[in-house]
Amino acid sequence: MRGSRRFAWTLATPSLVGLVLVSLVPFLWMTWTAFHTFSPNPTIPPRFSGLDNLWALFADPQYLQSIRVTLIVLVVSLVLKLSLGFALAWALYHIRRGRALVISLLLIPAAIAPLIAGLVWWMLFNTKFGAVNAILLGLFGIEPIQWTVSMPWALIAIIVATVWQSVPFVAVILLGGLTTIPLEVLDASKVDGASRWRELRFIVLPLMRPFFLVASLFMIIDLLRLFEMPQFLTSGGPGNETVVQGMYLFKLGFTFFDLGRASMMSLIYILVLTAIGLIFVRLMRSRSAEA
Amino acid sequence: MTGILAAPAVRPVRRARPTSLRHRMKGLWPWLIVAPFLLFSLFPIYWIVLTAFRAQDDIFQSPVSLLPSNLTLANIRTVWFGTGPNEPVIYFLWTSLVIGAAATLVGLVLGVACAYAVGRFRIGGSFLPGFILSFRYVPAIALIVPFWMMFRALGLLDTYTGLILIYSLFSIPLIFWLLLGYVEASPRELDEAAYVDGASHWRAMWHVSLPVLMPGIAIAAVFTFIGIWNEFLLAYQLAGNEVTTVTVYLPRLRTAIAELYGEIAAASLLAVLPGIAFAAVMQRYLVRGLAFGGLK
Repeated sequence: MRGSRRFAWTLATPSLVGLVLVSLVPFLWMTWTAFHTFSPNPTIPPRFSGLDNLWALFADPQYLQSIRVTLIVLVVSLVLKLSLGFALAWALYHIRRGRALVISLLLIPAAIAPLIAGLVWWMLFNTKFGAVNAILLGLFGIEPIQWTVSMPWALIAIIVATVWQSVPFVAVILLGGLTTIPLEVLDASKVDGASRWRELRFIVLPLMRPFFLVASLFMIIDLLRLFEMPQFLTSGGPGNETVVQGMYLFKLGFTFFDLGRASMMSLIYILVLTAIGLIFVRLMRSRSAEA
Repeated sequence: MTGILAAPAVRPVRRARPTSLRHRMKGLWPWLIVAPFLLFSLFPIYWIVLTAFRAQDDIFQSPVSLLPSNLTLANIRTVWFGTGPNEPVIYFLWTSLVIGAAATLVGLVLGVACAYAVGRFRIGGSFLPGFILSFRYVPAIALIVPFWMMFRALGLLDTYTGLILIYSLFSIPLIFWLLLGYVEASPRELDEAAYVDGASHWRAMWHVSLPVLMPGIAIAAVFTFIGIWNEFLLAYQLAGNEVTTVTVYLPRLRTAIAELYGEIAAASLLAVLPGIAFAAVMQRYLVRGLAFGGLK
C-alpha cells in the first residue's frame, strides 16, 4: 500500500528521537564536560583543561581502588554464578515434576529491587542481630563475624548478595540451553557407554558454550552497574575498601561535585562497556560460524 | 538470540522406568542440589516477612532466633500510618504508583508504535532493531552525571514530569524488544485484508493488529512497571524532596535515630509485593524480560 514507509517512520520517529534525547545528547554533553574543569563555585564557568581529568583519575588512589574492588567482585561473582548456575540448571533439567513451580520460587530474588536486596542482606549480615551469624553459631559454633565492617568479610557479603540475586536467573538461561540439546545425542553417548561425567564434560558443556557466553555478558553488565546494593549493604566500608565503580562515580559527581572528573570516569566506563559488548558479539559470531 | 532467551519448554526428561528403590533414589539427586538453592533464595524473603511481623525485643536479640516468635502488627501499622517524623509509607507508594503507571503508559505508546513500525514494515533494515536494543546496555549510573546536568538546565529536577519523562524513554528498548517478537509472529495478512477493505494504516493498526498484540503489551507493561517501581538511582538523584518514590523513602528509615529493622522490613515487604506477585504469574516470560534488565 502506498505511504507504508512514511506511516512506519511516523510511528517510529518519536521513539528514536526520545532515545537520542536520553543517550546521545547526555553522552555528548558528558564528553564535553569530561574535558573541562569545574569549580565548586557555580558562578565560575567551566574551563577547558584537555586531558587533565584523565590524569587526575589515574593519580587518584580511590579510583584505582574502586577498579580493583569491581574487578574482584566481577571475577569471583561471575565464576560462582556460572558454576553454581550450571549445577542448578543440570539438576533442574533432571526434575520432572514441579519444575515450573521451583523455577518461579527461585526467581523471586531477581524480581526484588537491588536496593531492598542491599537492605535485607545488611540485616542478615548484622554482627549482633543478623541471621547469618546466628546460623553459623548454631550449626558450627563459629564466633560472630564482623561482616559489613571488616575485610575481607564485607567483600564476601557483597559477593554473596550478588550471587543470591542472579544465580537462579543464570540457571534458567542455562536450562534453556540444556533443553536445546537433542535427547538423541545424550542417548547415543549412553549407548557408547559414556559415563555421566564424561557425557557432561565432552558432550553437554561444549554444546552449552553460546549459552554460557550470553549469561556471562548479562552478568558482567549487571555487575558493572552495581550501585545501590553495595551502597546499602556495606556503604563502601570498612573505609573505602568496598567502593565499587558505580559508587565512586556517584561520589565524585555528587559528593565531591567534581563534574568534570565524574564525566571522564563515566566516559571510560561507557567505553569499557562498549568494548565488552563488541568482544562478546564477536565471540558469539565466531562460535556460530564454527558450528 | 531469541531462541536462547526464550523460556525453556518444560518437557519430560527421561522415560519413566519400573520403580525399584534404586531408581527412586536416582530420581532424587536433583532435589539434593535444588533444595539448598531454594533455601538460599527464599531465606532472605522469609527474613523480610519475619522481621516485618516481629516485636522489637525479638528482632534485637543475640543470637537472633530463626523461627517465628512474638509476632505483632506494630511495624506494619507504624510504616503504614506513620509515626512522629516518619510520614506514612502509603504516600510514597502512591507516588511510585503514579510515576510508574504514567511512565509505563507513555513508554508503551512510544515503544509499541516503534515495534509495530519495525516489525511490520521492516524500516531501518537489519540495523535498526540492534541499534534500539543497544541503548539498553548503558546503565543509568553511567549517565547519571549528564542526566542531572540536563535536568538542572531544564528545571526538571524534583518533578513528576522529569521522572515520568526519563523512565518512559528509558523503557523504550525493553518494550520494543519484547513486542518485536509478537509483531513478527502476528500475521501481516490481517492488516493487508483491512487495507483491501479500504482501511487506513492507522485504522488497520488500531482495530486489527493492536488487539492481537495485547498479550505482549500486557507483559511489556508489567516488566516496565516493575522496573520503574524498583528503580532507585534516578529517583534519588533527579528527585527526592517534593517527589519521593518508595525506594527513596526506604533507606531513610535506616538513617533515623535508631536502626528501625522492623519498620524497614515492613516497608520493604510492601515494596516487594508487586514484584513477587508478578514474578509468580509471569514466570514463563521472566527470562526474556530480565535479560534486558526489565526488573532492575
